[in-house]
Amino acid sequence: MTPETLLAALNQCVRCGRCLAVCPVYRQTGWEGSVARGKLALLRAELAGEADLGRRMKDLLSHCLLCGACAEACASGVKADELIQAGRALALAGGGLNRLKSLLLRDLLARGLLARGLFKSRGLFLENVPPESGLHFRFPWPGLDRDRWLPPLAPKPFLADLPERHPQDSPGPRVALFVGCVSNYLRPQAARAAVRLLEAAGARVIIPPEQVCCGKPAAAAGDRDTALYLARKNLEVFNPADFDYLTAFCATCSAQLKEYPSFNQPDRPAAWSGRVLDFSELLIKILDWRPSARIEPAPDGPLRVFFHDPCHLRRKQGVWQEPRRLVERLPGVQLVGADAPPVCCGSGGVFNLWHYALSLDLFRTRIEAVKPYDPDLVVTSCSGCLLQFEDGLRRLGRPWPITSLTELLAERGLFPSGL
Amino acid sequence: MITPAAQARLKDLLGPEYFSTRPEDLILYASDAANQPQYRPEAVARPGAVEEIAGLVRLARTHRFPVIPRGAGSGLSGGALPVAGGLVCVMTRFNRILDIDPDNLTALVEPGVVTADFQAAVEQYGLFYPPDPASRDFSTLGGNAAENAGGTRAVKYGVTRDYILGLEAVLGTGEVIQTGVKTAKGVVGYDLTRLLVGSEGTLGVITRLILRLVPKPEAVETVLAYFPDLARAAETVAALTAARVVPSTLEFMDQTSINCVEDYLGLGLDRTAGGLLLIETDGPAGQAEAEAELIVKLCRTQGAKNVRRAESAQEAADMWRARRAISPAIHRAASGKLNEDIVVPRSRIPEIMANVTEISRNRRLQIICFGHAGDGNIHVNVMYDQAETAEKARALEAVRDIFTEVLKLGGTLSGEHGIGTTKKAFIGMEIKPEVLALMKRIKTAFDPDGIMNPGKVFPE
Repeated sequence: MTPETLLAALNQCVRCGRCLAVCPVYRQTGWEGSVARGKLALLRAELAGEADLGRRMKDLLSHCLLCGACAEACASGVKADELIQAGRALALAGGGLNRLKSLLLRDLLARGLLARGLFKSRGLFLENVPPESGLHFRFPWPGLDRDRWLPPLAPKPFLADLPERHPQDSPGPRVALFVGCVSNYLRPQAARAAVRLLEAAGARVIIPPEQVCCGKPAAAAGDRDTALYLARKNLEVFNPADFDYLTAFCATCSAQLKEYPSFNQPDRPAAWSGRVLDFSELLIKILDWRPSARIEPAPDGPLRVFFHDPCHLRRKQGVWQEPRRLVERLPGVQLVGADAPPVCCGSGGVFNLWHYALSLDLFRTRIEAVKPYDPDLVVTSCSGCLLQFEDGLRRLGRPWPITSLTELLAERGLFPSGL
Repeated sequence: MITPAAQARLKDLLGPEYFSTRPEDLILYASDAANQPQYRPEAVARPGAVEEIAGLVRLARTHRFPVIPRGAGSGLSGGALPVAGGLVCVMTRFNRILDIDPDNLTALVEPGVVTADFQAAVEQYGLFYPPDPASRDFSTLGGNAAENAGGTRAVKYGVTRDYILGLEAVLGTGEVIQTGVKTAKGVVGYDLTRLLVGSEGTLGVITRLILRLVPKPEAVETVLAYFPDLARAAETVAALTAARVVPSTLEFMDQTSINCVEDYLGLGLDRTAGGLLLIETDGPAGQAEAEAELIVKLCRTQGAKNVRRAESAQEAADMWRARRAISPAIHRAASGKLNEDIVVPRSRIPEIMANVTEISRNRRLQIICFGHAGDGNIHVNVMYDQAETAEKARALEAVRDIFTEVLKLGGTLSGEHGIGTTKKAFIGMEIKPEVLALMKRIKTAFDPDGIMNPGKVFPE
């Protein structure tokens, strides 16, 4: 987006205030700068030359989860989350993230030398937290709270240790699996579960090991160049001739992959259009997945499961029925709170790095809305939400466990159990 | 002017986190929801206690700077605009519901509570807070009180003023006063509550409200009726009154507003209808049902081309989504709008609609109408192209024409949005000079130094 097109889009905002009703950050702070209307006013003033906020703009625009609630509520069709992301890109271009940082970030996300080096030497800067598994930072890093809990890193990244696949003769669709960084480094069991589920449903699973980060963290931070670089790599690695569908089980990844065709790269045609599906969409709409397990009803009743909607799944992709249907199909499981309105977990990806305390306050609001449903387990299908729940639930005394959708479906829906 | 010395005192009083002269805050608080130019304040305060507000008002008197109270900044008449600079006093930290008393049907609230949140809270007790402005999901009770906000249920239940038993406010003198009662009735001394409600922040800052509640009706029935032309829709309103039917809401939309909303939401509204009426009845289940059926019959007799009862809560919710989206959605018709909320006696609605049509023709401007037909309160929106100064000038003349006709019919210039800055120039059309002078003397008693929200209500 050029400054001119961005300004034209910003001028569509009529300042009615409807975004104030739905913005989780505004509801928490009561500060006009938290909400879309306010940030758009700042961007407008800056671009129209009525203000000179300069470097402050980056910080001001950071107060956004990119959850999309504002875009959904807007009666004037303003996609404020996209405009704020575009604003961040402009703010960066004005001298934010410097060249070195950008190269380092690119290496990390593209699984280059630095990423591999850091992974091998992780014991130097991360320490285990007994008695549970989990990690804290050994040293205070700027902007990273030492009490933040991280899940343990996998012994090997998933993509360096691919599971055995069982190619079938059945003419099931060829499904290329996009793994995502969190599953790759921190939670390979989610990816293994996905593979088992796909095969059980008759799909032929392809996992190009050279895939890189989907690019959303870079895009969200405004680093459009890195996001494009990563997109190009993935477009090369996932050859459309090799698959019928491309799927990701992290909602942020699937949402970002669906954005690739709009990146307008004339030398890379959007061959993926229409073939990228979130994992739950694929299982319901294409594979009609049914559980193969039979679980005896537990004496104290079924397992009460609450599905937390990732913003990038429900709002960005309009997908929310499918995960619910999948959970409902599981034997011995009761879906609770299916009609509860969606509440952002408060992670907002990079927001969680920039505004950790506020992110936790937002998470508390999310948890308050889950409590009335009294679940035994919370399940979600986004890596960002998953990390937020893992860290946040620990701070709140761990009222319930949290797991990913693929793991739940594999554990309870496959026979033998998929884990 | 907020001098550096005053700034230092304010920062001590409020704490550095809640007092700001940062350029971004001055931009953020330079506008509200009225389609007006921006006016940057000199500073922004977000107080958390009554004492802080009393302190900042006293400083304002000493240093002679304006104080502009603000809730969510959702007002449509420019009430929260710092037109003379000064300090915007944001009330969003006052966001607690302090008490709900189901035995006495009252509640004690802070002004920064969002109206819909309050409504949801009292409904847990089987109670009901009827004032229902279209902005209820984000506007605050304090803002509603300062503007005497109305809403869709006013036809049966009245407006915000009818539900405020008493309040606490910091006056322009710096004093903190309590007004009114906690009881169902009271007449002791002058009714300062009613003076402050609707005073648009020009007499003081409201810091607490004692609200009256009613029992929640058992059932609500929703009817949607399409008419071939607006005149027949307007006449139906009169017919309903004549039949002694009191619906809980009686809203109308003209063809343009229907089409703007349909462009935005695509709910399947009839784009060819000349107008529609959205009507609700509430009460005990049998009664609401019977009244709804009566309304359906009446609409058909009056020539409705299609009348439907909402068959599910979802269907009713969709109808209301449409109604609540009109104000922002009509911006699709033109970039600029002058948003007026005139009221006429409801029997004169057909006449005012005819007048508006003629004014629209004379001034060569589109005028979109919708609103609270049941109490004669029409939102008349004069649309113009913001890039054309000549159009804006004609729009202002159209507004004056409309006001002239409204007053001839025995109406009033504002039903619920208030005067603010947008209607200052016209207040003299309705209020006689000697009465305006009396109002100004009252203001002087509350605000001797003229610091409370200057530039509002009274023309200079």
